[in-house]
Amino acid sequence: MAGINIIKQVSKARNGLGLFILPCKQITITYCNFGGSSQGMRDFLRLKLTKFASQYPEVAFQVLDKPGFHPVIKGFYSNNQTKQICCRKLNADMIENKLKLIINSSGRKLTKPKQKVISLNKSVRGIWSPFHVDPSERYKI
Amino acid sequence: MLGCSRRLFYRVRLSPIRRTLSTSPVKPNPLTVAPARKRNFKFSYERSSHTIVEEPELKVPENKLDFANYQRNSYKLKISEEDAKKIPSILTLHARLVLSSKYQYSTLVRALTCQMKENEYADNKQMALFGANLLSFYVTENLISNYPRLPISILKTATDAYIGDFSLCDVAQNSWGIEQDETSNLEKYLSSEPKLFRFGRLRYDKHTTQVEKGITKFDNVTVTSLDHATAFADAVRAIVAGVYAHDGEEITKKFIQSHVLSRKIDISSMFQFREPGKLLSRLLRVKQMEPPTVRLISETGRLSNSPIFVVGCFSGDSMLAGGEGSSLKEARIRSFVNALKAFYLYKPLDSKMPSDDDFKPLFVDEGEPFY
Repeated sequence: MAGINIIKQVSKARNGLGLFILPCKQITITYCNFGGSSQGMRDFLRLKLTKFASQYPEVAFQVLDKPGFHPVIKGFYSNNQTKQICCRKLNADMIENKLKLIINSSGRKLTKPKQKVISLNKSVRGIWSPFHVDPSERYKI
Repeated sequence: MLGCSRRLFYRVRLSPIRRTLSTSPVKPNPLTVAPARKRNFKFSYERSSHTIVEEPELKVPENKLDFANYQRNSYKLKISEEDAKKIPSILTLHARLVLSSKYQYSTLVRALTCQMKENEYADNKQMALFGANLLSFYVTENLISNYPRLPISILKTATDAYIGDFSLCDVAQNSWGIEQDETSNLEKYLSSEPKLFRFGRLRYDKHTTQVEKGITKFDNVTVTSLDHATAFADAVRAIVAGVYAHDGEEITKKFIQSHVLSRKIDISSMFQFREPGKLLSRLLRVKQMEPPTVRLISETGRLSNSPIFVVGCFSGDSMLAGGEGSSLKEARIRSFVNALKAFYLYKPLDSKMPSDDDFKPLFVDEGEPFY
């Protein structure tokens, strides 16, 4: 029977085309109240955190006291991945940079891209075909 | 003698070609309209069951035309605006979706609460129904005015690809970062999480229970229980309804365009033609064009193991589409499919939706009688 069968699809996200939504949704900061490696983190929490966190209303900041451990910052992303960085012996400015790194990453695993361009769209030009060239200019064997 | 027979032979061979080029001498049978077959399945975006709420279950406001203030009696509790502002995931969700300051945080809390068996808080059931209608309106008008010649089955599939359960579930989980409430009360108590925070996650009665890793038990199917994808999709629909309630129609349209219609679907790969040659000749007959003729444009390696043929599908003198393949039959069928797709996927250059201000009436194809 002649007719049309349908093939169902699910739309694919293109973040940034309509609206950019930050993939990082939560950051957990742990610190120790007396350890020497947490000195920079304690400075950051006391002096810089409020101003820094208010710049990113999309991200929930959670601060946990974890005595006896090195300070760690951990980012949670919307693709269910996490990324954590140990901030042992880092000063407040370096910690701020590490936080920016976590906020700016997509949460995807680090991989080396094989193609130069990765796109959901098909190539605009299509595959070159020798048969659509004018016959007078065609290569002859 | 020999030359005469050769001439005769040519005449015999040429005659079928000449016949296909001219209009058919036999009058074609009139196309009969087959009665539309009733679909026995529904797409997920149409599946929202409209439940009738009886009079005793409703709190009717004094002014009966004040539709916004009708309430179900089952809502005994409601999260207040002050409480909702204490939930971090609600605050961040509000900021991530770039919702306006008019959009209340308590509406987001309500949108994340599905109808449950033992729940006294206001749920998102009616909001999700309204949001589903809003979404299907804006998506359908977008598809119809961009692709006015799509067959109805493909139009519905494309709508489902945008606003079906799985797509909206992907929007909620992987773009907006909504989480579901999975931890038990004991785990919440042990992690000393405030009780209020559970309202910041999606809560619904699950169809299934996870017995252990890799084993899922389908045991919990009740009236209120929901699929994973449906629950997340309903949250998105309810949030869209909230945008309409707080900010109005214009902002809702923009919201749907930036969060749903900006996603990628490929309509041309939704088609799968059965007997495309027949379909094309019927289509051309309906459009009162000459029947299709396929002509070879170029070829290479006919006697090798990897030949390529390029053919064109013509109606009269105009070429409808080209096709290429490793056999003549394959190239011919590809050219039919390309011609059909070229017709159905016609896209006007500056399309305007009916909800736009400068909308001019557009011609939507009436569809073919042979489906």
